[in-house]
Amino acid sequence: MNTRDILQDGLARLERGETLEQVLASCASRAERDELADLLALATNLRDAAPALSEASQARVQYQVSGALRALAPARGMSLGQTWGLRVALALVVVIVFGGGTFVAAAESAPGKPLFPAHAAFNEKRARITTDPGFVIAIHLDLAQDRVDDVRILKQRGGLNEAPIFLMVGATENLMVALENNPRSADRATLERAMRLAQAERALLRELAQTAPVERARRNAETLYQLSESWTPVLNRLLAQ
Amino acid sequence: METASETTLIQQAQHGNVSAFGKLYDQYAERVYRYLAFRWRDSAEAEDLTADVFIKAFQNIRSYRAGQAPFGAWLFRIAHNVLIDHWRAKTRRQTIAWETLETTANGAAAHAFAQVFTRAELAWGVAQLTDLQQHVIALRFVAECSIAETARAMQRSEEAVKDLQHKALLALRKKIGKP
Repeated sequence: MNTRDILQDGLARLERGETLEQVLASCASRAERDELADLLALATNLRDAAPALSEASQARVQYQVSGALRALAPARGMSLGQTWGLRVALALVVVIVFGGGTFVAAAESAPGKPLFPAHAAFNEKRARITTDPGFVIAIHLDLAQDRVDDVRILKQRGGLNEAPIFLMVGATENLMVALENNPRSADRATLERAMRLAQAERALLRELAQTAPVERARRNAETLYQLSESWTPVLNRLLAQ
Repeated sequence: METASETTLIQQAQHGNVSAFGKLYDQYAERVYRYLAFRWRDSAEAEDLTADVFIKAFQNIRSYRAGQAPFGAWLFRIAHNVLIDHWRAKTRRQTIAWETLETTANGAAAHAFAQVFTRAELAWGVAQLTDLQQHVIALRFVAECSIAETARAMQRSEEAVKDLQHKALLALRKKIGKP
């Protein structure tokens, strides 16, 4: 056998569960053993050195994938299997409860919490892979509503800074863009819900401009309140169509 | 090739059974993530890329033909393409960003005959290899693909993969300065 095949034979034996010692013991010569020892050690070290998928990462990935599948399944005329979705939810709870987290469910995640990025990514991914414009608008509307709820929760807790406020306005801006790009894809009920959201969010911004605990948050809320002036006229125009 | 139960899961997933796809996800997620995290060297982005791989896999699973390649090879082909797309979208970074560059902890490697290589050494050394060498190392030793899976994923013969893995390990040993 040449060196290449000796290496592959050694790797195959390690994969079958033999120890490095056993593999090296059967080498024909000292030179062959030394050569193989280095290369097998490298291969083993590479395996050990690669990052592993932690429980929290696993939960975040699963959450994104299951969210996307949930969006894809009806579009492809499929029924969404309940078992996996339920198991994902349970996995999240396990991670949250046993992984040191303190809140109840990823679906209820809020800014500053471990799975908040997953929650946002979940909805963003759903919007990205969905092609039906009406469904895209519905997802953006849900996402925008979530962000408003997040800000309200943080406001009640007294831990509000400017970041969730930007996220909230950004989500509603995404909704407005989706609505303007697809002016005939939203039904009246959706537009009315969007209007209620926009009005409530603007009222919240005005309040935060006065009462947010951090000065930067107050200043940004004031600026964002002014920038959000365009929302109501756009929605009125769409409702009039 | 996949097992009979895996073949059944694939067939069910091809008919829109999301639970069956979830089981396939369970079987492959760890390996796909390790491959992506190893190649991209950013664990957080690797999470998003892993999700993208499985979403693309689900979207395209009806095009998968069992006789043409093992499912794992098909999946890693998607992973490779997702990585390339991401690479194109972002400036390729040369920096080593594995979160912890401490010595590898596994005692099995600390063998009397063998060198113990640190993560820092390995990360630096791998980054100096050609793209093809990095690819074969990621598939064979990080994602733990078989020779057959790797060959299909790389669209090369099994003999070529054996050659490549040998040359890649030799090159890596040379790069990290071990005799």
